[in-house]
Amino acid sequence: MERNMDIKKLLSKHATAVILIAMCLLITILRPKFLAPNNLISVLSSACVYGCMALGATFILISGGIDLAAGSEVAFAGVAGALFGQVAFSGKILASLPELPFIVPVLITLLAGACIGVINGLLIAYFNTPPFIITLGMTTVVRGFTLLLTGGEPVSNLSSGYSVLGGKILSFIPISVIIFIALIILAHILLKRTQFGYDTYAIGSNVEAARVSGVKVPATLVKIYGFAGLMYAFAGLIMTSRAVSIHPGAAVGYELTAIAGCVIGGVSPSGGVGTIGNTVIGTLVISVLRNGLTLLGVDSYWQQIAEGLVIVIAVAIDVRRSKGTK
Amino acid sequence: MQENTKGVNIKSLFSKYGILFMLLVLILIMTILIPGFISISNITGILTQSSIYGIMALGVTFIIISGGIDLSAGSMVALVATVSAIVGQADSARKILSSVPELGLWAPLLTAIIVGALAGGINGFLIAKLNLLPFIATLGTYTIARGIALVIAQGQAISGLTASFAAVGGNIGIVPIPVLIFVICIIICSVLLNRTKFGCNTYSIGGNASAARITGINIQRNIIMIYAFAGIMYGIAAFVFAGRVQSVNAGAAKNYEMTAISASIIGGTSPSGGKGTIWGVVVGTMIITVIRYGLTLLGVDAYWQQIAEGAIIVIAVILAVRKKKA
Repeated sequence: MERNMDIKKLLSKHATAVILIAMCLLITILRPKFLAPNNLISVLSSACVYGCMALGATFILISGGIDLAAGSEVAFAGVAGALFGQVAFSGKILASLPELPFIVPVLITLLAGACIGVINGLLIAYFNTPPFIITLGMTTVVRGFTLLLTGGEPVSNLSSGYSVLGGKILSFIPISVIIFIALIILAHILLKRTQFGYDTYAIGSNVEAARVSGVKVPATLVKIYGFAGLMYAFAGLIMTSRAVSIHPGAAVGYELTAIAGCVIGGVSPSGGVGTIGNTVIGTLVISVLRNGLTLLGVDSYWQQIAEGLVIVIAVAIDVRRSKGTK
Repeated sequence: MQENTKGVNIKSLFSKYGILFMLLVLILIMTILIPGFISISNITGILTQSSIYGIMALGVTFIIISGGIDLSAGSMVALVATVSAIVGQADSARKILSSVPELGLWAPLLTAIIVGALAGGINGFLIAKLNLLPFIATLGTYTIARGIALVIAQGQAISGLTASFAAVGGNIGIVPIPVLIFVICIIICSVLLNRTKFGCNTYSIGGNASAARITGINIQRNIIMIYAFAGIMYGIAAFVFAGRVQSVNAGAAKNYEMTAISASIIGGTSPSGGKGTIWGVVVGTMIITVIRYGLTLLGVDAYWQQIAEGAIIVIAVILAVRKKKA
């Protein structure tokens, strides 16, 4: 009897992981080539962009916030960096100047993402504004600046560093996947092993209690949004390096996929609950679903419907589960 | 002493009607910058442009007042417009039975209202009965509704509407019909929100859900009704939209929910629920349109327009938060 309960508990605790495994099994039975190493790599590789975004969004959701500007930030960071990474960039300033080393566009990308994140954080923390609406406004503002920077044209003709970054190691594992995995580890350590992580949970569970117990709420919020901005910038970098160009209209609506990934995995949109593991599993659910439906030859319109249904069902199961434990 | 109370009065008047004041200042600025800004053609132009997302904003306002949010509004407009355009095609009846005459205008209108109410009702069901957070439930239906619209339209634009349907985009005298419909919707919403039990319940649920439950309000039923009513508004907006563009694409009305939500929030609806007025929403809608219209007349490029619009949302929210504190 007790053992039975344990299994039930275990299953409900890892409901999304069970769903993920079941999905993989089902797809494998229907289309055995799902398990081909090439296909598995492509599942991982397609998860990279919104996976990196989801890592940032996890911190924000746990703190009880939300960030609708993430997609715009990805495009902005990508474009800002790419402008410095154009082969002809230094020549534009001074004809004799050599090409900038690749580290410059990389740093500019990361800096641009972090800056926008910090601005979001400042607006939310120091003006006490609701994150949903402020980041909704910022979506438009940031996208506008991105379009302005490029005149609406894609930024291409990038230095060779980008194509290297967009390539593979040992002609097998994409570098973007390695970056993604490294960021997962980094985010996990930050969330679980540092004061910053503790404070993030504390703010999301109960702001007032956090304040009373000495958490510097505004400063931590700025850090949270800044860190998220940095993660979005990595997503922008991966996106740019894969296509070796970036369009200012890129990544529209990606924030919703990223947030869906977090929430499907079990990060609570009302704050205080969630782990990086949750987010990774949720992101993989989306990525496996997309891959599986494509392998099955389902057309893209139906894929969209299926994706929406999975979000609703996964979250409905999650709600039941958390009710059960209460 | 008397002067003092007068000062307070002006202050409270200003804080209550601040957005109206903001609209007037905007119009004044535009009038100074653009000679002949106040002309019949510009006024009807601004009103017509406001009507579609204005009607959506009316619906979403009920939801926001009840403490919810709806990300699916734009997708729902696309879905309803697609379905209603199919019904309103000149040869829609003949497809089924060759002897049937052309359907009247009632057919697409009724379809729009019913499909809208059903779609909205599903949102309400997910939120009230399955206990999903509004943000997540409507994130799911945002994807699903768009997917269904795409499946129905199969990537084709739906055109060839009946003459009476196409006339919905036209004028009666100098009054554009979309504006007329908008005004009717404003009156209906105003009465519903201020003079009925339904409106009263909407405020109480958003103000304090548990208190509302204790006073005997059936929260689940009311929430379903609120979302279904918003769905009807989206349906009417979609009907007007189809009549105006006369060629409906399943990808239409993308991000309209953001404009509608912004209009509502700029108009003073509290993003945390419990507060909001219909006249405020109408003014909020006007503010957005006057900015768009004016900046276009001034020849400001589209990217800067986007930035200005986002910045105004951010500023309006910051001001709203300050006001609440004071």
